[in-house]
Amino acid sequence: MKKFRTDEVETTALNNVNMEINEGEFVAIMGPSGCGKSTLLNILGLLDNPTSGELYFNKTQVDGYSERQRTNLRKENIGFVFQSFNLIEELTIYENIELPLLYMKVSSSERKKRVNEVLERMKIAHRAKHFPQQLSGGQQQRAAIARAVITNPKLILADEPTGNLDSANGEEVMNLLTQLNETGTTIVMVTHSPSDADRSHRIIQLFDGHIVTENMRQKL
Amino acid sequence: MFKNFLITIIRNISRNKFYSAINMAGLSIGLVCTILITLFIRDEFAYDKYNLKHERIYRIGSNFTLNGNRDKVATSSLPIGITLKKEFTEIEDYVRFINTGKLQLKYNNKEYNEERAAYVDSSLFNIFSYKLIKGNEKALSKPFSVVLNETLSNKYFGDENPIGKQILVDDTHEYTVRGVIEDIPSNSHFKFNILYSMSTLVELSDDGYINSTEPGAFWNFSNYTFILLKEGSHISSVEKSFPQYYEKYMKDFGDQIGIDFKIVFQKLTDIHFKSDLNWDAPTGNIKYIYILFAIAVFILTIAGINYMNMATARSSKRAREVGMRKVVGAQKESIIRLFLLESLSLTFAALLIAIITVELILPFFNLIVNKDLILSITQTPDVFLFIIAVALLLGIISGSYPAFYLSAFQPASILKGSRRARGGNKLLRQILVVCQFTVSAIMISGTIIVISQLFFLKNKDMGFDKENIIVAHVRDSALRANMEEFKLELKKNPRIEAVATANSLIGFTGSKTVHLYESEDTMLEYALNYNVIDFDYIDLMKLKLMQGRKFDRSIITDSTTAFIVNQSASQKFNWGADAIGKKLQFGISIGEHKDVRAGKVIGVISDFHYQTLSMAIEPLSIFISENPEDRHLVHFKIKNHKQSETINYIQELWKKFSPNYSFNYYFLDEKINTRFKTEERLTVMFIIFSIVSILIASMGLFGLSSFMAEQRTKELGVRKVLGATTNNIVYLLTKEFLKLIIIANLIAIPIAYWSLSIWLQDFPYRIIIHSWIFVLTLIISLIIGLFTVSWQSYKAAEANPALAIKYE
Repeated sequence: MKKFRTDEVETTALNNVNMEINEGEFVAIMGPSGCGKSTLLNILGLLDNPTSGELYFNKTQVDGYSERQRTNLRKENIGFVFQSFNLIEELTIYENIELPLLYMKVSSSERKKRVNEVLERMKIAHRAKHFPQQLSGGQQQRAAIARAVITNPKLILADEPTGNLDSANGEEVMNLLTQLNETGTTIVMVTHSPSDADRSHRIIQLFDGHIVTENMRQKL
Repeated sequence: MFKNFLITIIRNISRNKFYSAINMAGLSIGLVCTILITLFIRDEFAYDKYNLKHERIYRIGSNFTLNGNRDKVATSSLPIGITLKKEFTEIEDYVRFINTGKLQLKYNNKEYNEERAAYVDSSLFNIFSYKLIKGNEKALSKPFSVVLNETLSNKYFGDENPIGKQILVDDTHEYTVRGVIEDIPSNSHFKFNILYSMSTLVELSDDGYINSTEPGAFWNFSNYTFILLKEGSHISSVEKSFPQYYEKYMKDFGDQIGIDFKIVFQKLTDIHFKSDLNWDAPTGNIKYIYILFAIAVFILTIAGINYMNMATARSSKRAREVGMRKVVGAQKESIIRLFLLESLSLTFAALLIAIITVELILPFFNLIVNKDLILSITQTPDVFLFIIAVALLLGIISGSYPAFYLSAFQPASILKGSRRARGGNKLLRQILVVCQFTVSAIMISGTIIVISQLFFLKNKDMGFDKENIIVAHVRDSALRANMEEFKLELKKNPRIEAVATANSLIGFTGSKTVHLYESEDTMLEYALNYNVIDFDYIDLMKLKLMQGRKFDRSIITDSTTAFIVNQSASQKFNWGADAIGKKLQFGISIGEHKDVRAGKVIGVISDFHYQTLSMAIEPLSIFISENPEDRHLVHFKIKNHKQSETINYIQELWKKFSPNYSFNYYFLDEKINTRFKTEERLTVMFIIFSIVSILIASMGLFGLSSFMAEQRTKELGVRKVLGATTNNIVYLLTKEFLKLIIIANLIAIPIAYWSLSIWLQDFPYRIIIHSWIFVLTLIISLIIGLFTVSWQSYKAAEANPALAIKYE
């Protein structure tokens, strides 16, 4: 369960959500605005602690972790992709992608190798020295995905990754995520788009903080 | 990681040029002020410390009581140094200074008028660390030897070797130059340019009074004496045994004349700040050091607050960066480090700018404060270390709030994009703005008060007429003797209204001597200020007669027995309305001392400031002397127009009467105003530093208001759509800041009132701190605040609401 407190009002954002996500899965979370999708994603991403309840990551119970522990776990294992990209404006594309490696204290030569590799893979190598504002939305999101995958995380959390993109760019981003899933990365994605959700193995429908349906899909 | 931090910081600074410029400028200006004030204070505390033996050098002062009236003076008698050295094994050596006042030097038929000369014992170089550039430590042993400072030596002799050259002093004696010293540092409590050998006076005087130790000689406190203790000795042991010394040398005579004497030992390095003795050279004022220190802290606080305000206000812009860094693995400490590094980089860049600026403006600052301050790594490494520490502290303190504030951001709440972090804690920011404007208001009201006090001192009715009077020193005995004839010639020019002579310069320190005054049936002793004048003096100075009559040429006894006293004296002696006819005697006769002038009071004049305005008016006697040698000052009251012509006329006539001495003059009012140099300097510094603090605070307010306007773009757009006029919006944005400024002023009033009252206590004549000063301060603050804020507000109010609403 997750509750939010302001001065006067206590709001329950998630209530009695029981779910399990297996390694290698591609899960889509859907539901109307304010149903708790992002809260769920934040808890899964260890950005937030649940108010009550249990959370296991890799068979380890993590719901009581301190901020420091969560940060350590997160930087090794989880990558994030946001609707609004959240690239740091003061850093170039190259530097943005390199940032997680800096916090993991990866050596400089290794960093260079891995950043260049992922730049190639995301087809934005020619944009390495540009600043985020100089790129199109699709390119920015590809850079954000590059940043998310640079640490080879086990889990990628994507919060409406195509929400700010036109259909062609959205399609491309979804292709990238699908490819990542195919190489073994677990993906949990919040989305409003049924066509994006179609790419997943399983769709979880949230309403008012509850799971209303869980829909296993046979991947084609 | 460090590189990544630096990249972020540098790009952040360069992307936000406007805010960075405000921050940098504020920090730089603040540090410039701090460095200047540090240099100033350091110099003040280093007074006389260039003397290597300063720990062991003491000045002998005199503390004596005459009929219950205590006087403490910085001077001592001629024999005290000699006898102390003889009696106390603790004392290694002594040196005496006898000041000579103004004099005229001639070399190669060129005439120079100089001040700051003294006769000194040859032990000088053993005690004080004056660096001899030419000559040796025996330079002052032989009679008629003179040691010049470097400036004078260059002035007279240029590249020639000065040693052995002859200088004619006051057209009477030839002195041989036997040494040249480096100019005495400006932070010396005395600064002599010319030093004559004491043995000259021994040779010139018939009675050998210079080295005489006869009992009467101990009671004439006419010179400065310094002693040097032996290493390992303490002044306390000299103090302890002083009663035995007193018994042996001074007690008998002292009891006879009814004076009680206590010796005063002042450590050389204590003189500048701690001396409260009369007849001292001008000393420093520790209060000014406190004031300047407070100003430096104030200015740095304002600059630091600017940084904090700007950094937190802009935090919404940085939130995404913080959030993302946390998402990809940054711990809280890492974020704190980033922001501290940012504030430190900015502070140290500002420090660099500040140091360069100080190097550029130091010559001008030196002119204002009359010092030779320097900032260099080799000569003032301590100052460098200190300001680096200050910058470090400033960077950490001003960076820590934004660092902790920003590092506490929860990434989950910011990264969604819809929820934006608010621009810092609004209340805290308001408190900080109030702090800044409180400080500014204190500075503004302080400036107004300091200026008013200076204006008050300069324009205070001194009780005499100081306008259009020029004064010259008569060094030529022949002219002194011919004065009446000279006056008659001068009066032929209708633009010269009056000419009068006197012994002491009006508006400055008076001379004191023991008098006997009539009290009931007896005569009591009193150390009374006196001035020797001539028949025209009272009229020329427009002194007001209250009782009796003025001196009259036709009454012969007026120049031998008549006295005029001031109101304070009449009150002090309890004469009331019957002062006229009371007996008064100048000097007392004991043994061989017969130098007395006994007579009666013929008039009482109203009090006037014959001493400086920094002293309350004391009792005074004035009288005429038949001996023209007693009056070395001549005053010319001239008409207001064509003054230079009049002065030329006087000069021509002077040449006729005194061909060997040039005519050097000054205007009395200008001379009197020079007495306020310290206050003037403080005023100038106050003005400069308060302008600086207001400037920095306004820059901060400007930055903050533009940020607020920017942040509220959407709100303002909606308001406009709903019908708000430009005026409504300007009012809305401005009133918030103006409210803060009013609060700041309310806080500032008691602080400024209290602290400036303490400063004013030093002045016996001072202004009252009226409420208008604070009203004026409020008006000035409001105008500055309004001016700063309204421009941004107006810009925001004029913006097209359609654009504002569409945004996002």
